Amino acid sequence: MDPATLALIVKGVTLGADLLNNGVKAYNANKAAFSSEDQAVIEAAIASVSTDNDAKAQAALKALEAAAKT
Amino acid sequence: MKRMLIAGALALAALAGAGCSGCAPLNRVVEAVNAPSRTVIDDKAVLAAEVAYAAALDTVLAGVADGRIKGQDAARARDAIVAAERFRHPDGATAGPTTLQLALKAGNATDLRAKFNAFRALTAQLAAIAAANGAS
Repeated sequence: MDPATLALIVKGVTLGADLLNNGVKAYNANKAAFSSEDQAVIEAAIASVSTDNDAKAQAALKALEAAAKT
Repeated sequence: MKRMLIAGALALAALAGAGCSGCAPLNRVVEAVNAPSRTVIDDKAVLAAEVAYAAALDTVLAGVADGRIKGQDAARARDAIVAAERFRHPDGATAGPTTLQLALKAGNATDLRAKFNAFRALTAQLAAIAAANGAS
């Protein structure tokens, strides 16, 4: 892995951890400080979590369908 | 760039997992999503809303797995998820851009806020069903 990619990964994880630690309020307060790259990170994280939720929802529906019959 | 995004998403997903204990940071995100004082609905808010939905789904899945959610309660949880998924993908799809992602891209703040609040309500409904059955 090249250093630039590694740096981007660290930045992505830091952004995620910061979001979890401080809540979205902190981000809203500092919205102007966000670079376009940071915003791209958030947008892609939305896409990733949303895709994960798509699969999770389908799994839950299948499990609940069976559980509803018990 | 993609690797960074995946790493960030994995960090979020790991913390949102049903088996996660001591998830105070995640709880703070959920609280931030639900805060009545929220004045800005932006990409960070949409991300937090999806993370909150993930947590609700994980909670329901855990409740089904350990037998606490069954029968009529399971049917109610199923209906809540069906409603949430119809909101997320009104075209009937089970993948692709969600309603909130599309609204975010469209850039209409009023429409985004309305859809954000609707999704928040659907997530809260699902979480309430899980909580009523002792799932956590």
